[in-house]
Amino acid sequence: MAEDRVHVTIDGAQTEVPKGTILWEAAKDIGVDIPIFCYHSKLGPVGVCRMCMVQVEGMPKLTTACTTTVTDGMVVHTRSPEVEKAQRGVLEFLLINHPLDCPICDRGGECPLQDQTFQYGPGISRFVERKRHFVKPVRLGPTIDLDRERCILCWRCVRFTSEVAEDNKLILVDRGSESFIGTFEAEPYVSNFSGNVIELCPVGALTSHKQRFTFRPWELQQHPSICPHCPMGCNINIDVRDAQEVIRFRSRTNEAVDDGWLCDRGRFGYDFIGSPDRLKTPLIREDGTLRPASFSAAYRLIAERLQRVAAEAGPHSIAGIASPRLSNEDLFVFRRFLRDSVGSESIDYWPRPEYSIDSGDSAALQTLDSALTSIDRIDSAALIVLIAADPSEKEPVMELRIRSALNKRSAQLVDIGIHDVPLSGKASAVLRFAPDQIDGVLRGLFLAAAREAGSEEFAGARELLDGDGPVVLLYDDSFPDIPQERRRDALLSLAYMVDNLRERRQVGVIPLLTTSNEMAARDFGVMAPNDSGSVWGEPLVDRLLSGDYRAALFWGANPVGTVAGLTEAVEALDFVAVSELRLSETAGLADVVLPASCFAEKVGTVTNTCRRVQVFSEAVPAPGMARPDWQMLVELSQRWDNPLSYASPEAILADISGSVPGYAGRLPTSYRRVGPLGVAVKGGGVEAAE
Amino acid sequence: MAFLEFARGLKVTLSTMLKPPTTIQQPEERRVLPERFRGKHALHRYENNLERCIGCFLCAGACPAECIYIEAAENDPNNPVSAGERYARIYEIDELRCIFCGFCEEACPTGAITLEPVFEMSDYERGGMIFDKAILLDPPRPQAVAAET
Amino acid sequence: MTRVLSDEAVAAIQAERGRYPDPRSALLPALHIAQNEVGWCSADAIEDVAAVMELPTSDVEEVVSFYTMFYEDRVGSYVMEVCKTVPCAILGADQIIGHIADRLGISPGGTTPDGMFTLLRVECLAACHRAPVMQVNSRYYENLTPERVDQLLDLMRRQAELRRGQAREAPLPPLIGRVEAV
Ligand code: SF4
Ligand code: SF4
Ligand code: SF4
Ligand code: SF4
Ligand code: FES
Ligand code: FES
Repeated sequence: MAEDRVHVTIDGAQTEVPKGTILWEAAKDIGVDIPIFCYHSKLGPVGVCRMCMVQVEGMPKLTTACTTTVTDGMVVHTRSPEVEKAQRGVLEFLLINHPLDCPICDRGGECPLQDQTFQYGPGISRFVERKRHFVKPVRLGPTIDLDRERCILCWRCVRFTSEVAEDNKLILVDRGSESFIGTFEAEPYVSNFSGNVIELCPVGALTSHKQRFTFRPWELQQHPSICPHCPMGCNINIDVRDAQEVIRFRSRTNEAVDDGWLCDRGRFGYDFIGSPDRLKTPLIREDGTLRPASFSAAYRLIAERLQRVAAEAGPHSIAGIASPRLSNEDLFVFRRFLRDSVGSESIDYWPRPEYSIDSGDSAALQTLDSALTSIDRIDSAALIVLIAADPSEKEPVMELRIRSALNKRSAQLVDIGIHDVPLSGKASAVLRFAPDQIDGVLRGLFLAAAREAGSEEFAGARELLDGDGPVVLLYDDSFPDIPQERRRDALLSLAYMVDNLRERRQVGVIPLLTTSNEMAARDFGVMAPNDSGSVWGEPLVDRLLSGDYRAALFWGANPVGTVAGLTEAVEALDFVAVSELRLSETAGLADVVLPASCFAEKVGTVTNTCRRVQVFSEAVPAPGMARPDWQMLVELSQRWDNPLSYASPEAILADISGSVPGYAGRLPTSYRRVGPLGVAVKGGGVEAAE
Repeated sequence: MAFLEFARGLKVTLSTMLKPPTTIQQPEERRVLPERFRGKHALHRYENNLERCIGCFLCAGACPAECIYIEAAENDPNNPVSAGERYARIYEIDELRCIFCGFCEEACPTGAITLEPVFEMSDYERGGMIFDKAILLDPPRPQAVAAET
Repeated sequence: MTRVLSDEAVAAIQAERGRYPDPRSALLPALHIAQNEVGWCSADAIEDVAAVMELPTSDVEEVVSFYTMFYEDRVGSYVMEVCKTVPCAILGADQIIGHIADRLGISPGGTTPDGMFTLLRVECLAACHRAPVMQVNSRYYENLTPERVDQLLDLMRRQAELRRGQAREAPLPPLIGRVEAV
């Protein structure tokens, strides 16, 4: 037996676990179910509910499995008569003041209190006195309704706000049977992560305001999917009623990505799916107005007009701009359609970083790319560095991951940026500078860390950089606060410092991107190349302004309205086709609009910020005639001499896994083999740097 | 032998001929239904006129024919529809699909839904057989004769 | 920096912090200092204490709401804190509370309009052997009956008459030593 492992016998079954394992976890590992309310693997143990009582031989009284760490030779009984009596007693006490709300409670049907009362409870209540009453329900904040009568005071929500989100918003007010969950001075509970307490609450005390009374859990179908709202790629379940209506997103724990949490932007961001303004048919402009039309008419018109433009001005005068929220399959087919069928190299995505990288600088991009690491590497980092980056804004759940690394594993944080971000309060060193100094600061800092001369203001940060252990750098390569002309230099300095630093330490980088599938858009070459064709050129949207193009395809992208002057430039084009979920500003200017299905209405994959490819599945039918983008592109391409021939998204996946550098050989060719938790196709920079 | 069989058969025929007919002249004549007859559904109210149904979906969950459709909503405390926080904004039963098993009645925690001794339900269209809250709460059709209790 | 706490109070809290290995442990003394100065634990007072103690305001509020000796509302000159815990409850605490409430025309948690009496229900006062028990401005009155409560209320009224004109903050002289003496 290894030094750091111990033997324990639970209900007669022997198991060996690492020293320091919580008894409840050890039991769970061998399939022994000990009922719990207050314990949660992601929150520290408190032992307040007393539901997890077990009998440990040699101990005079029953003990709580959630606060006991196993010791060698421990013999535990979880189903002895004493334990069962204790469980019945605890449940009877918990139910004394619990209202008989199950029929109208949103948690009823998936409620641990219901389930465990059924399984371990006394069956009858001897309590005949008046129950304690509270006014109910109360709005705890914009997202959460609180029913104080149902609360069993397990503290999970309180511990979530104090230990995980660290905003200390929820507290236990008052005392004894009159205790309830509240906030300081009854202020509204506003947080980026409030929705998580709904899932944590083991009863129906905290329920979603938005979903209140819209469903019962037993009639929902679950569809594994990926949150579409940022490139973090948190795993979700889409819960659907009657195979029609998306009721809610719930977290689907993926330790390598989200650690079981979701942010509110993701959790409550599903209204667009069933929105009444979704496009249901193709639209064709006739006499200035867009009118419903058939797909074949729309395809015919697109093909005719694009082929005419290509004949007159060459295929490169046709610009294709895709949205990086399209799936891998869509983006890949979009690029193939433009390059192989239409013959145009004018392809880009939007929104994207608004600067270009020359071929001479491609080494810098390669450096950053080779250092790309995975999200779970944050956990083992000794030092985490934010470079002009705000994870809380770009990829919110990343904030929780960083907080947990800082709290649990004594990592340190350096915040190098222009202004304070929510994580700044956790930083051991903070470095602020004027927006146009970023490259100088980065170079200076890392030269200094490389034990060369440096100025005194960097001292604190330098000392940290000089230490040992793995470093994870998070940067935002759109550099939102940096003047546009400095952004390229900033990226180059960053690459330079990564290069410098990794001579001495393991370095991994994580870019904080803007849109969910931006990584794939870059990987698949849906990004305007520069003239030598290898790295980022000037954004195509900017070049549209100068009138270099005659026709444009906007696939989900909606730059009109955001980019000044683009309306006129798009109006001046000979032909514009748009594929969209609804009539966006850009679609409003189009000659043909195609109705696309969204991520919840099709099967596909997305690549997250750290190049993990994850699968989403079809949860609801698309509205009207809406179709997946890849399918419309394949159908459209039949009108060119080089048509595409994909019969299913899986065929595209196979092609991606066979042909995209970095994906080839790593990405399985079927969704089943990609699996529910996805696969990392590249990355692990911390190791690679060794 | 064969004659014996024939005579036995004829005996049945002749004796039945002499009994009064089992069929009755519905609707002029009415049969007294058994007390626990399970027919057309009805939703009920409390004495204070609040609906008993709280929109809990338990009947829909119990229904083997999946013919109950409910959408719930929150009561306006100043003008409540049902007793409590929640009521059924939409409550529909497709009587054509219903197998009159009575599980819904058994599942209901508030005694809101019952199956009444009424079997006369017909319509020229299928749509008319999807009974909504209005019909279930306040039946517009003439009530048939129920068992005397 | 602070809204309601004086510099002396802040200094006193700082001094308390220095006395504990974990400065957080000084929260109870700090709240006593604040309550003595402000009269009750107002939101402003809580924010001040939180700032000096370097704790989230929510943590301080939790403590204030937990301990019945910290007042979450303005209180009157006589704070009548009647124990509501089991032994007292069994021996008629609810009757005592109901009686006081009737006499004063307020419900538990309330204060009479003249600002004279506040009635609170509190947790065990650790005098269970003489239940039911009530504490008025740091003095215990035990073995309560409605009649004794009436006598006490009259005494307090008379005492208040005598003290009229004196500063409210002046410490109250003991009314009576033991309830038996009433
Ligand atoms: S509201 Fe829910 S999570 Fe919070 S303490 Fe009560 S039961 Fe636990
Ligand atoms: S962090 Fe991003 S992926 Fe995760 S839930 Fe929030 S928006 Fe969705
Ligand atoms: S009687 Fe049976 S089949 Fe008919 S609605 Fe009720 S549960 Fe469904
Ligand atoms: S009829 Fe009864 S079981 Fe059905 S929703 Fe209403 S209250 Fe629930
Ligand atoms: S789960 Fe162990 S005490 Fe609550
Ligand atoms: S129970 Fe009242 S003093 Fe202890």
